[in-house]
Amino acid sequence: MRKNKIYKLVSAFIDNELEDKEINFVLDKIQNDLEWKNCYEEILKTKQIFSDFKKIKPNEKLQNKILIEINRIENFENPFIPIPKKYIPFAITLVAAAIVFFVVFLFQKKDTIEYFLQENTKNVRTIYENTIANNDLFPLRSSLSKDDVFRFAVYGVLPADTTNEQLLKISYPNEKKFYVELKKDEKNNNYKKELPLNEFYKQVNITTKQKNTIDSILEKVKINIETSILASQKDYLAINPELWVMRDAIFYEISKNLNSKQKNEFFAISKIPHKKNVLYENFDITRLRNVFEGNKIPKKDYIFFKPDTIFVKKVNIDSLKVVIENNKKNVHIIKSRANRLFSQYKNNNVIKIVFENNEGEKDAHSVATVSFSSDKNMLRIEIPDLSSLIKYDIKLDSFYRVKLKNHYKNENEMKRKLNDFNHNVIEFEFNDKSDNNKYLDTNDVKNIHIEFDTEKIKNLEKFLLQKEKFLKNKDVNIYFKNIDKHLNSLKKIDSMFKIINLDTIFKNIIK
Amino acid sequence: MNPELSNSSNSTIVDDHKIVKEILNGNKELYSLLVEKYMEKIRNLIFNITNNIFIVDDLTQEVFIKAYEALPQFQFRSGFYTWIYRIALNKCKDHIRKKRLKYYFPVLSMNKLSSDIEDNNNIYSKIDDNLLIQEALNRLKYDFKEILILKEIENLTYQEISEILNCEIGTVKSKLARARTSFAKIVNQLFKDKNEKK
Repeated sequence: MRKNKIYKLVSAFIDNELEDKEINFVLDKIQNDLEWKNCYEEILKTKQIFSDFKKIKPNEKLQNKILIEINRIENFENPFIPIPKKYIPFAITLVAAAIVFFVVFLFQKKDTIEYFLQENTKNVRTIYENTIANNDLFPLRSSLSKDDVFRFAVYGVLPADTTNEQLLKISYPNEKKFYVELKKDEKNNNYKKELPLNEFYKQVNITTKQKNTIDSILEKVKINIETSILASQKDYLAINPELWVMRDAIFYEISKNLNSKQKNEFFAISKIPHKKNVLYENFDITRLRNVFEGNKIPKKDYIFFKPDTIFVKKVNIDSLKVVIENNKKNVHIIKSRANRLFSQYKNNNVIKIVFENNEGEKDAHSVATVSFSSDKNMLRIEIPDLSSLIKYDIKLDSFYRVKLKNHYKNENEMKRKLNDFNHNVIEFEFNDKSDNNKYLDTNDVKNIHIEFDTEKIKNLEKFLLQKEKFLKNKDVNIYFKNIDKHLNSLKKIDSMFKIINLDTIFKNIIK
Repeated sequence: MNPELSNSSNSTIVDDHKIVKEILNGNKELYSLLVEKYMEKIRNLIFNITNNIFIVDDLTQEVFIKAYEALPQFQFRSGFYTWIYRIALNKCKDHIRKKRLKYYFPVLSMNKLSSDIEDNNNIYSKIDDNLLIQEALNRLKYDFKEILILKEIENLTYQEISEILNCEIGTVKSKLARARTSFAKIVNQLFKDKNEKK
């Protein structure tokens, strides 16, 4: 009997779903045939695994919520008093006339209508969502310096206005809450306390190469930070919920360029509460990089804060970048706008906001609860559900955790295992995978780019040995430094492995 | 059979049918009895399918609203619970399709999430085992995951599963057998990986 058939019968036998005659047959087979017995034991084991499966904690409030919602729908569906049939034509004419009158009125007195609605309707949120114009939004702070970006990565703080009288602070990566605070910072005192970039460089004895790399990272991500905190002439404050991930990303990118001693100092000054390496474990490198790549998405959800409500609306990032470019010299745009917010928020108010998905489908959304509290010196906005929203909101098309089959759990580990290539740059390029594939194995590696210093030619030999073992049939692009000194060694390696065509090597060198 | 339904499955169905008839006759507040009876089951089903604690309550609410709105179309040919399970599974499928599986947590995030949940709410007592099962389920083909959850976690009969999935009992039999084989392979691999790490 075929194995599938055996599994089918034994599976139904265990579930007590067989006819009597089949039961006797299967029972006999299980007792006398090893293949049937093994199959029986395997399925039993599977059932055993599920026996300890725990349920999620009951939600006692949900039942009420559902019933209230149903009640609301019921009432909404039958809002009209029945009209006798003979009056229906008259009613239709009346409604049509009212609509025509309203439309004419709307075109003629647009401002008045808007004012009327804003003043009178309870649904202020909808009105705000529809009336925000993209060209009314400006970065709360433009022209950030490298130093500003560095302090943001390390301490989570940004100067929130041009005179540095206010400070914007976001929660630490390891805190369970996500919050953003606007704090008064008179005479820039608190900001000055934090270690500036140049002092950091001195403290960790940075090399020129490291400095150049870190400077270029800070320069590159500046625009992302600048476009993440917006304000408008109408007292809106808008925040890109990716701000927290951006901070992690910059932090990670800086630390990646430090040696272990420097890294320890970097962690120490950051004041980020962490156990050894815990911070990194929670980082998904590909995802962090995608935060910046995510800028290719022209529109993003921003959380808008207004004294009387909070809501989410998509913002056109590209046009914001143009605004920033055009206003580089005009940095007084929003000064003191945020000031007013301090006094206007009511304490401990809680509002639910809805994030649509990137495709804008109305019924596909996530809901986050936002609470805010303030005193005269500080405004704190807390978004406890943000972790789920960030996952959802960022474009994750290339979000693959690198788990190379039986070998490596991430890119870094792969590098380490292949060899201690501390001084070589290795980059992996992966094949496109469908969304439900969360793990990669070596088959998914399409190309490998390696930069080799030929002075460490032994590493190349080791690498090629490893490649044979784990990365068969993969394209390897190898770029060499100091080639002239070690041409003979290279030829020797080439003859040993017959893997890389020396012509290709030369081609790459010429490039 | 679902243990909570096993004592008197038929009488449960009859009771549910009576309640539904009463609701359709205008006694709408009786719907709360059905919500109370099946809400936690639906929550758990949605969690197991979507693997996302953050959307469980929203989807559960949507399921009960959808069921309420569709109640006039209920045919009384199957149990109310198999009918609402089908609605729940369709909701999950829609949700996953729309999100293009973005909600599926990678292992590390799931670990972190679970430890957060454990710290805060003590939801799981055996977090590792649950995570392992979740992880194995997530690696299964969606059809297999669905049928395995209905059988092993929801404890439904083949007849009930066939009603929910709208297929023949024979199909349930063979699909479940294949799902179990596939699941066993994945679990073995996960245990192997786990032990290698140790």
